[in-house]
Amino acid sequence: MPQYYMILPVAAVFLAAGCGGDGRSKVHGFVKHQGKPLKAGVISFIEEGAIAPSGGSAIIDGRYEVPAEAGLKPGKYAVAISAPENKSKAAAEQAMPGMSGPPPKETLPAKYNSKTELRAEVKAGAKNEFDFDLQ
Amino acid sequence: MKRNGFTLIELLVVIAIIAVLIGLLVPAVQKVREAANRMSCTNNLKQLGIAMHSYHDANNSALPAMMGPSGCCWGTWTILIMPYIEQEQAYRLYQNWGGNDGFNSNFPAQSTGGFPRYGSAPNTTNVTGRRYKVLTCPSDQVNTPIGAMPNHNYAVCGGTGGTSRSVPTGAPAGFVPQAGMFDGGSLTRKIKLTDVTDGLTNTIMVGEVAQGQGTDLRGFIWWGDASAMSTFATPNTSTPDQIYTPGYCNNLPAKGLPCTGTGGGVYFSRSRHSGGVNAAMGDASVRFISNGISPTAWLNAGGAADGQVGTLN
Repeated sequence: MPQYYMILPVAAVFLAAGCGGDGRSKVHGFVKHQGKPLKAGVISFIEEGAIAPSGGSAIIDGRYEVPAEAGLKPGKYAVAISAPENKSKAAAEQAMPGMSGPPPKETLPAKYNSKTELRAEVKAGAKNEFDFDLQ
Repeated sequence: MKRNGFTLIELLVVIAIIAVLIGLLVPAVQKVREAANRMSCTNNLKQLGIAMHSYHDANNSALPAMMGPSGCCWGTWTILIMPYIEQEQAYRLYQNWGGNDGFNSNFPAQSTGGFPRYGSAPNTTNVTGRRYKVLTCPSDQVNTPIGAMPNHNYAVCGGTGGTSRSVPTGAPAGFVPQAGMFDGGSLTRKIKLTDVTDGLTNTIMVGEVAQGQGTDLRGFIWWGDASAMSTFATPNTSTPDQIYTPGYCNNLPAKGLPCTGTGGGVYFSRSRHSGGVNAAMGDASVRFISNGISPTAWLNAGGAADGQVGTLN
């Protein structure tokens, strides 16, 4: 009878073959602004030398997470954190979507976003948790 | 003692083997289904690409405008290409394309009173309250965010910034968004194929977008903002789209639909295909572009005449 259990490792091999990524890592962490969790914002990870982000996430109550499926490849990144001014929910939702206003105003200093000094290094297999404490 | 029949163990083993076989078969069947859906999705893009060229040939060598001169709400490129995607009837019934709330364009149809927007009668009943197969990618989950008006899956490329050439959140200082083959930053501009100096093969004309779920407006191409996509971030990026208001953003990062409701109007190319998105280039060829494309190459493929040629592979 023990031979029946041979099926388990075989099945395990088949199951494992279906998984596996393309070297992208989940990146997550916590953002504080003046000691308090940043209520709402956006974090972007920009490869060195590039203009456009390689990935990012919305920041909600300080927390952000870039999921593994759309995660970041190992390397050094510049990190831009923005906290656009939030629009009033009530006013905007009365009507059907209409004219788009100008881009939202930035509430954080430029050294955290458009001229960022923040850096992070994503490593394969590591935990890749980056917390930022903004002033 | 002689027993005829199977023992419990034998039955369990048979069931286990069948389970393993089904386990192998189901993903294979799903893959074939997705492959068929993707092919149909690619074909839709090809149709749209050809429709753009047909429009260009028939209308004084100019591509359809992204939206009318007054912006957001009186019709987008989708209405203009209707006759070229076998929807002549819908086109003929649409009222007030290119008008506004104080001026009726009587185009394409005579107005029956008032200044209808995309979301008012009779446009909703005749045109925008319907789902169009050629604008829907079968791989995606369909959704209707407002009334009977559905989201769709294809948006024109508005270049490297937001729909109205706005600067996306997180862009570095000095970043100037470049217009794509469609220009939301200059709505009266007539763009010709010969204006695409970066090369038609290297510039994106129509891209894929994923339908937002619930009240989410991604893929709501009846409306100006969502009628275009940006190449600022790579296909299926984890960088959130920037939607009109919080109530119209259903942030689902784990399902590949991250967003913020801060406004600005920036929509990235997304799909339900594994590993990338389809895109119709300026010459109406359709390519599958990997999520792993370099951010700079993708950015450059969005700008139509910025002197930066994106090499897509």
